[in-house]
Amino acid sequence: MLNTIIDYLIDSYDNYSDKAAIVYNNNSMTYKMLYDATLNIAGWINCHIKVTRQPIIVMMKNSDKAIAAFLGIALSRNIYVPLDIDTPIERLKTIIDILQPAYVINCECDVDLQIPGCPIVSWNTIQAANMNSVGLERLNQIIDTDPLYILFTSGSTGTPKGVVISHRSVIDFTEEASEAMKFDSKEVFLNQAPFYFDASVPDIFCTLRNGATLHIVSGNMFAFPVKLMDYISINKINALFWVPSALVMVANLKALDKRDISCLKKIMFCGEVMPTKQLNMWRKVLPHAIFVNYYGPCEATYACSYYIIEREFLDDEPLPIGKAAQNMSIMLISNGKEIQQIGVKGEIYIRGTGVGIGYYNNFEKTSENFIQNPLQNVYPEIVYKTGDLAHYDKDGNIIYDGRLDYQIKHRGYRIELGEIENCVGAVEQVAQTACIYNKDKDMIVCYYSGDILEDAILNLISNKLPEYMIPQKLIRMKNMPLNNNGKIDRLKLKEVNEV
Amino acid sequence: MREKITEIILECGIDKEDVYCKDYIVNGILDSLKMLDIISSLEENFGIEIDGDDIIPENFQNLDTIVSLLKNIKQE
Repeated sequence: MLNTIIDYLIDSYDNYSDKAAIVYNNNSMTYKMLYDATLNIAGWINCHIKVTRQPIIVMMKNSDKAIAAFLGIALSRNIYVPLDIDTPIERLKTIIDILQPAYVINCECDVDLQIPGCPIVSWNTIQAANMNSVGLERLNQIIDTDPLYILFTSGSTGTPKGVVISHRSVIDFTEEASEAMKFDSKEVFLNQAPFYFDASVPDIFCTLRNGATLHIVSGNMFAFPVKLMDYISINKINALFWVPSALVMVANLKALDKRDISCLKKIMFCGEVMPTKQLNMWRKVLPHAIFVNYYGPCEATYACSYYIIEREFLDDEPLPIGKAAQNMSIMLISNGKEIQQIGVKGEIYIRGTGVGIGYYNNFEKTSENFIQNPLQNVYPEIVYKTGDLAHYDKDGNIIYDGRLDYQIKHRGYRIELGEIENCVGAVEQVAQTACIYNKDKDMIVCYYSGDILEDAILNLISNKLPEYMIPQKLIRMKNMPLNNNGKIDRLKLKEVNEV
Repeated sequence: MREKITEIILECGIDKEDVYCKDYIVNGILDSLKMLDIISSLEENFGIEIDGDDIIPENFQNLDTIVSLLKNIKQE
């Protein structure tokens, strides 16, 4: 019975022992090497940490070693927590306070984090201890409702929240995605998202499940996308799970048509809205690849719905987020009732195995978002309330309308800031855009980057948007500030306006 | 031209002490966002178009390499 993600590792080790599981900066780690490293880590933890189901922080760059650390922690029946190696000390203190972790694992040396009561050990020390003989000791104790990992959400709400996800949820997503996208051992993925961000979850588990290969390159390559295109072409990368910002970056840095990247067959993205304009640039160079728009919060294990792009979209037409993935269900709810009609907006609620366990050490926040299904009160059923707005189109596909808190009331009208962003983003010279509502001044402020002046944008959008939706202020940015997950940082934008 | 480029690089968020660094790449001074910034600023200020093929580490290794890249583009 498949009840832990470790079964993926063991199966691929049995079937593809000498095949490269991970290629990191041109060095291959075979499935056998990954299996051995994983057992060493689990063995060391089994000997040094007597408790189970405790958080263990991993502060390592995206690498083969980091994946072995995650798997070793999972095999020891503990919970891995990937953190950015550059986490500011104050945030790190807050997170350690929340987690009270059993250990912190870092890469090279056992440097002190200067945080009292937080033991630290390096990957190298663990491997040198060579305790693989006891690595499998706890394998049979793992049940699929055990937590597998905790990911901290970005600071858009202030205090970080640690989303707890079980083995079962990850298995459910991985099985579904592998079937829907027809993944097999020939898949060659190229990782883009940092491991502390849930956009990397499919990279790791779709690779392990299918005996595929995952390439990891240093972040620098994304600054010089022509090099990235070379890498894709030389290494015959055929599948990507990237965030839209990375796809946009490659398109905007003019790298797309510079190399033959026709080896790419499957391009999947999730995490924010993919601008149709840059998607069309990608589709133009890769007319035979499939493009998939995934939707879902970290709390629902990467994604709960997807849309395979199957027709042309105009540059200002929003992409559907499609239909619920198999074994997941999406409800659009407004005023306590489920919406069935076309075009009526409601909040997205998610049901299914992919819904996470809750926020670590935070029952208060958990009970706000992981709630009893509002449509029935006859048996307990926890659903996740997303705070996202959406509606159905005529084909039954779900169209994302932005965050509930981006819905504003301005001069008496109910307005979706996302709609204005769509319109401004479709202007040819606009690279990126985000709108913010200033409640005190009752003013819509539109921030953008790109080679066009404010007045020219106003001219172009004035015949597309009703007058009450035209921003009172347009602010041209050199570049949009991004948070550490690569999404537009709206808190920073607000500060810009206040200056 | 050199002064103008220095100014642009500073504006794009590169620290003062890093501007004259011999190797932006090895020292991790440029990330993808700063690159986007620098490219669009250079294009705007010098009225040029930088080809995707020229956006490579060799051309953005330090101030000197950027200056000679710009000179080459201007000559063409």
